[in-house]
Amino acid sequence: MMERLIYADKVEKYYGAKGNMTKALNRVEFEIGKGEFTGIMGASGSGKSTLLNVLSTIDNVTAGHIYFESTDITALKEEQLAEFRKEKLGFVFQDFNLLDTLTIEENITLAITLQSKQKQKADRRAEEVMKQLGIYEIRSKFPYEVSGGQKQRCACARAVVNHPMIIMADEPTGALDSKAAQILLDTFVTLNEEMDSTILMVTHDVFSASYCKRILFLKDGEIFHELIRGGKGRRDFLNQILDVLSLTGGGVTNA
Amino acid sequence: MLNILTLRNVKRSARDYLIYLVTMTIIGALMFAFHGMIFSTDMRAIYGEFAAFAALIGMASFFIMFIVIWLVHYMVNFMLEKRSREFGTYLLLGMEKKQITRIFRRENMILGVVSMLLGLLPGFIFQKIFINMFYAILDVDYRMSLEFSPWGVLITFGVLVLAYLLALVRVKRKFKKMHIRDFIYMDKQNEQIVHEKGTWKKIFVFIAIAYIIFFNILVFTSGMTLYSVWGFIIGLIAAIYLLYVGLSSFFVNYIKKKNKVIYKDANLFVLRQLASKIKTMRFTMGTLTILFATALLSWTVVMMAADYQKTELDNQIPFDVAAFSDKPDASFEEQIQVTRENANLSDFHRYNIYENGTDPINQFLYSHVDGTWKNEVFKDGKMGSSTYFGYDTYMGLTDYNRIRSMLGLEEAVLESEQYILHGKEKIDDLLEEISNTIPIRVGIHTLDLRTINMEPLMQNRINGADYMIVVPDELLPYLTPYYSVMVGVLKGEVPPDLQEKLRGTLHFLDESINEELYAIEVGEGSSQVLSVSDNVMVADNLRIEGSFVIVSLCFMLAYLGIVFLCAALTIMTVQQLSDASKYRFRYEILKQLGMNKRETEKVVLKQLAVYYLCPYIISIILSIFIGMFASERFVYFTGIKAANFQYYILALLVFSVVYAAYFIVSYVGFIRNLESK
Repeated sequence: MMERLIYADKVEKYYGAKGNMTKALNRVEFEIGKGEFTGIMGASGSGKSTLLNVLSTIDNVTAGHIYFESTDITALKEEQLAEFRKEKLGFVFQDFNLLDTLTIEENITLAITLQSKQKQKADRRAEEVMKQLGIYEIRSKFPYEVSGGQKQRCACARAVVNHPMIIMADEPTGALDSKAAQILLDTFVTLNEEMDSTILMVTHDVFSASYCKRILFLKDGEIFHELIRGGKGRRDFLNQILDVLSLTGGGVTNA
Repeated sequence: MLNILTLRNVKRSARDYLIYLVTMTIIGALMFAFHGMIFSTDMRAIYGEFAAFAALIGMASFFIMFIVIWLVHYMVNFMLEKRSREFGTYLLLGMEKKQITRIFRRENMILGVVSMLLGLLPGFIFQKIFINMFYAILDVDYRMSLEFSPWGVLITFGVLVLAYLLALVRVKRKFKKMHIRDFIYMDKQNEQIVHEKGTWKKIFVFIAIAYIIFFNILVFTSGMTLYSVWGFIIGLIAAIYLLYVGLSSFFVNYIKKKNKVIYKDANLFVLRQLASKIKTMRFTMGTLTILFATALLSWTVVMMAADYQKTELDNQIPFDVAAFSDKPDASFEEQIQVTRENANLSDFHRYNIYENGTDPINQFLYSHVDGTWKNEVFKDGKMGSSTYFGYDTYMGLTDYNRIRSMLGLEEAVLESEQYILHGKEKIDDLLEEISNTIPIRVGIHTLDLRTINMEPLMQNRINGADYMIVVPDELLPYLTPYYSVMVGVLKGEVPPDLQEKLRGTLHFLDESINEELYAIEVGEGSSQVLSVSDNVMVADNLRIEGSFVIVSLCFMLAYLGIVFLCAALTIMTVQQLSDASKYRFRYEILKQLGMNKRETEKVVLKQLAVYYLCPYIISIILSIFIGMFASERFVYFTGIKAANFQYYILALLVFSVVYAAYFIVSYVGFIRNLESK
């Protein structure tokens, strides 16, 4: 059994005031083990982005606890959270969130230097990651000069460069064409399998989800299903996902 | 690394908010110019009492500091909003808020310093031009010098840095209060577009317009008292805000009525854009309108004042040089000698003013003229000056004709037992009344009025205070010499410090109580708006001294006005330019609907034109009536023959040029933002 990395303990998140309350997350409980590549799927409004936001400390929970190893992040103060994000988390967003005033290389270096590593080490580490992700050739270009896929790989490089505990990806393929999406997902697999990164990816795209090893399905703020790929091939897994979705699409509510 | 980031961000901000940088450069340049003038020896050479100019500019700079704080504060918040996602990314990367605050502050400071440095050279050139203008207005020759004052630069830096620091003070708190989620989703929240729902608010437009008309009628019919006017002005300000509150509904209502105008071109689109823009910007636009109107009006008033000054000064100081002594037997030898040493005294006349031990005319004037005062200062048998002399003042016909001839006035004639009443034009009806009601007796003779003369004759103590009774010479033995006077004609150039040198020969000032004391009760006359009353007067020096203050005031108000205008227009322009990139998709849709490039540009032009014209036209309507009224009254009171509109038009012209410049920048930038990817 894999070592437990994250434990979400009856997490609740409400929006709005009394009388007009929206339950975005309703007593969500699950675990993520070290080295897992987990996907979260659900229709829009199902709470999947909210879940990622509370897990990644971008948003706070209304009730419940989230443990990273033994640390309860819902109890951390703001400054501790900043420290936590810096050391333990890597982010990949749908719209990249690269700094447009910095080059590809500088975007990655900045993430390293914020952890105050020495310059030479930082340069070497950045070079290493860029080579791994195939963006070394474009390192001195600015984000607006490269393609979406390259931008997203730069974001990935920035996310993994500090050896985070986990990489959080929010619809990472959302703004990419299918070819670039495939390359990115292969990158994720490489990161996961060869570099032992733990990845948590929110997506509503079945093709992207089929790259995961395990998928949590969210509906109306609750986890209603879980799929584990096990030894299956990607194509079989994809079909399995489609089955689950077709069930929720029409079936569940009518049943 | 963070330094690189900071510098790159500065570069980007400079590009994105070029208009802001340019405005700050202009403001910096103006400040350099004016502060440089304070320390300029060329400026000091014009006029000894230089402090007035320095004080006025200092005051202006104080206000400008607040304008700069306002502008920087606005821009900082604006950037904070636009760049929230970027700051969110910093936070995600693990930067601390303290670090981000520092970067952001540093960026803004660098931007400020860059604009200051860019302003140095233009500021230096402005300074030379302004000094030249100053000399030209005061009619003094000026030789251009390349003098440069480091003090002016230092003060400007000091004021601007202080303004930036104050404007940035709250940034830290802002960052502290914000949660990472707000940063990342802030730009999404702002996508909500406010639409005016109900149209009942359109009634405000009519109420506001009705009030503005009412106000103007009151102005024209002089229906306001000095106290009620403030209430009416507060009402006017409220009406302007109300107008903008209503305007959005007004446009929406107009659209809903389906007037045929909205079916022409893209008018529907333009009106909708405008309605929502006004709704979100109404408070800012209301404030801009009020301040535009104020700036326009104050310029008009100052230009009028300058003109009044010029004419009035010539009236008040007809003699090139004049001196007063409280002793009846003063020879003025010392004054004549000093004058001769410094200038060419081609002619002079010394004479006495007489009294007959009574004061019925002065009593009459004290009770009939507004704003007179009686000095209560007595010390060692001496006293301070009042509005009128202790006794009524008389003069002999020969002396009278002698000084008249100096001014090129025709000779006056008197038969025995006649007198001439010579007084100021401003109290002409009182002079009439005096001649009718107060009998003039000299010795045993009661005199008849020959005529009333009102040519300007220095009647602020030199030739009496406000008036003078001229009697035939043969009656002078019945009168007592009261005090002595000397007037003279100067040829050629007059040194700027002659007045000061002459003053140095007189010893009226009691330093222990800082008041000039005289052996007799001296009268200064009742001129109030502009009064030149002194014991020695050198016309040339006084003209410059008087004009100097007014010209300084002109410069100061123009300085304030332009800085304000630029700051306000920058905010309007930056708003538009950011909209251009934010709502680019709207214009994309227009294109998809079949509009070509030229038609799109026309829509943009129309939209910007209405947006910019709103505060422009409203402020003109507001100020034009008041300005016209003031001009008309001014011409009426002063008799200065100038076209009514002249002052207003001139102010409006300056205003319009600056306005147009920002409009063009806004339009060009807008189109460029739409086209850029």
